[in-house]
Amino acid sequence: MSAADFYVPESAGGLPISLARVEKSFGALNVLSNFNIEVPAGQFLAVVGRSGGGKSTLMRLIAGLDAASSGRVSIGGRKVERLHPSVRLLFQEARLVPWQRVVENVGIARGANWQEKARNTLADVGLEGREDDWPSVLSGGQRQRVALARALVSEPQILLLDEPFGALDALTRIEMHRLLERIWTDRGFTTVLITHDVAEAVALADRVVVLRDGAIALDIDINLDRPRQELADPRAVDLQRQILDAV
Amino acid sequence: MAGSASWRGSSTGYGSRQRPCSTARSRWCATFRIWRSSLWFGIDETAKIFLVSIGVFFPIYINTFYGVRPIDPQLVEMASVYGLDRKALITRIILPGALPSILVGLRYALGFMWLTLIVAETISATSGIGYMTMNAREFLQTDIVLLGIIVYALLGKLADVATRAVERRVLVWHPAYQAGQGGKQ
Repeated sequence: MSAADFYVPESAGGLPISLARVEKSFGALNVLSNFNIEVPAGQFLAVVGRSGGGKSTLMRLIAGLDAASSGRVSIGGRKVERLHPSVRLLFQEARLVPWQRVVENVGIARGANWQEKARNTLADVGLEGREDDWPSVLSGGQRQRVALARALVSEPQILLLDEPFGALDALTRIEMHRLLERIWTDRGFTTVLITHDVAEAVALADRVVVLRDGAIALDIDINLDRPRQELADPRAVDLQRQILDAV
Repeated sequence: MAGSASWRGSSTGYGSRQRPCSTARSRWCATFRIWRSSLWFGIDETAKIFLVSIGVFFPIYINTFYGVRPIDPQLVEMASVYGLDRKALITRIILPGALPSILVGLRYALGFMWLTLIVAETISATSGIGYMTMNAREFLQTDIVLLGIIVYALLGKLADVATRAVERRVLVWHPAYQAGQGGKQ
């Protein structure tokens, strides 16, 4: 299938994200201190780091789930104070509602024409014909696809991914990478991917940031051709080694 | 995140301050309540309706209470991220999630209902199956006593079968009720 076959909403596009002198502490523990980053509209940013390095905190700040202790987090030039309607999150677990069918899960926020939109988006993630199934009969990869469709159905301008493929097997993960890359190329939303998998970061992102002890230890651009072939490119291996050294 | 935080907060706070009347205690109270209610309401229908209402209230209340509490906070967080308001959160996430537990309460309550009704009819009544059976006992009409017991057994079974049918219908999403549909693929 070519890109033209897929359903692409008219308002596709991304919003820039900016964090300026952001601090976040939980009690005495300082997770992020004097943190600055600019993510241009439409960029695919991967944030790599060890557990407890502040990755999830960073994502929760951008999503508006938590407030910064000080500093400014802004989306599209506006300060983030609560959940932004054009920001969508994909969690590590699919978090599907077990008593709602697949199509109802995708259209969880309802709204006008939700059924039609949900069906279109499900077809887009390759789940045509599974609309009326219960989440309990789906495999892990299919559940994560439903979660992706649920995030995409409202045509977000920013997509935040918190290790969404961490629990999937290697083959399913590669499939999900291709799917995400294709949808991101079609729609052009700004993406922030939190991951501890360096290969995944290099395979997907335009730019990789390594977080260590709440500060940026490395910030590099990945200028590889798209669509990317995993493990095939020697330049990718070099980049992976460079990132691994910084983690 | 204010929505989900206040929801979790209120549920745990409520639980620590006030526990629902324990099952054991409500059982203990049952016989006493029958005497008390015939003092208050005499031996007409009001007394029986009062007794049965009290009897079925607690199993359903307790099971609803403990059905709502273990609902996955991650689902509640997801619901807030996707912009569900409080009403949608309750009708689409919290109540359906508590439904399996509520239905267990309903089944138990129906059993308890027949029990209460029999006792109420044997102690303070001028008509009814329990009254008929007690009267028959006085006159050693064992056939009628047996008939009363069988009628009660059938009514109890019928109520149970009906609730299970409701369970199968509304819990069709639950893996435990999908055995016939092939299960996980």
